[in-house]
Amino acid sequence: MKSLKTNFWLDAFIFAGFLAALQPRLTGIAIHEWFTLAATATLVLHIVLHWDWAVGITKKFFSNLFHVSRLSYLVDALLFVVFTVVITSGLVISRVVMPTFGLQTFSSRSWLEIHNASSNLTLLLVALHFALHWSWVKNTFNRLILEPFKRLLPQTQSQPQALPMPMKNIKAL
Amino acid sequence: MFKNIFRFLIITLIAIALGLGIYYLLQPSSAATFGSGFRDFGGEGGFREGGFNLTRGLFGVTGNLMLVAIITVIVVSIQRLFSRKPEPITTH
Repeated sequence: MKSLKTNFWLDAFIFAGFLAALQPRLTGIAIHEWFTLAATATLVLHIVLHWDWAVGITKKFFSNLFHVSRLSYLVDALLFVVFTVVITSGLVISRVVMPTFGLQTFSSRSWLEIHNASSNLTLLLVALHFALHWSWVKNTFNRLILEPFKRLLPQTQSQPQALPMPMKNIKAL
Repeated sequence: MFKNIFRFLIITLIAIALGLGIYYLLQPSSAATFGSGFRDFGGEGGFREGGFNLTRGLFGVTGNLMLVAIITVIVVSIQRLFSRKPEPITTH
């Protein structure tokens, strides 16, 4: 239950952070850079928490396996590569983070195009990742949020209703 | 705990190696432009909102969220369409 809670809230935090990271005008460029760099650690943590699944699927990848798991594995692997491209290109065109460490960056249109294209692709892959794990999201949301909320609501005690008389008893009358 | 820290470091190192590989593949060291074989657009870049947002700022998030919701509905519908349904039990 503890690990389920950790997974759920970490995933919710990553998802909300990812949507915010796609809006540099909303957060400002400095927060966009520092926040996404820090968020990379949470993404790695997400993989660490699902390590057993990743290792298990890697071992079984070429053997008989249900298709959704295989598709999910491919999406996740591609997501890891594309996220790396987003972070790399983001650091190359960084205006705040890298200059803070005294590192030279490029104000290059090409790197910006790579950064934009890869972040857009990431959004599509995250959406696919979310969709493929939809049943887990729905069940965990129900278990951690809806059910405790329902328990908080006052329960109405229903009056016991009179049971209908069986047909054979009616005939006997 | 140590196992998880070790895994964390391994994944981080793989990501760093991959990132450096992509960087040096596109732009060789001490060069300001892309290496030969890769098209360089030239010029300076500004910054743009990511994703498929309809408007800027906070409302821009809703556009991306809508896209995630649409993709989820499509994928879940396809999964349901092709999922194995239990065969009805018939009695003779």
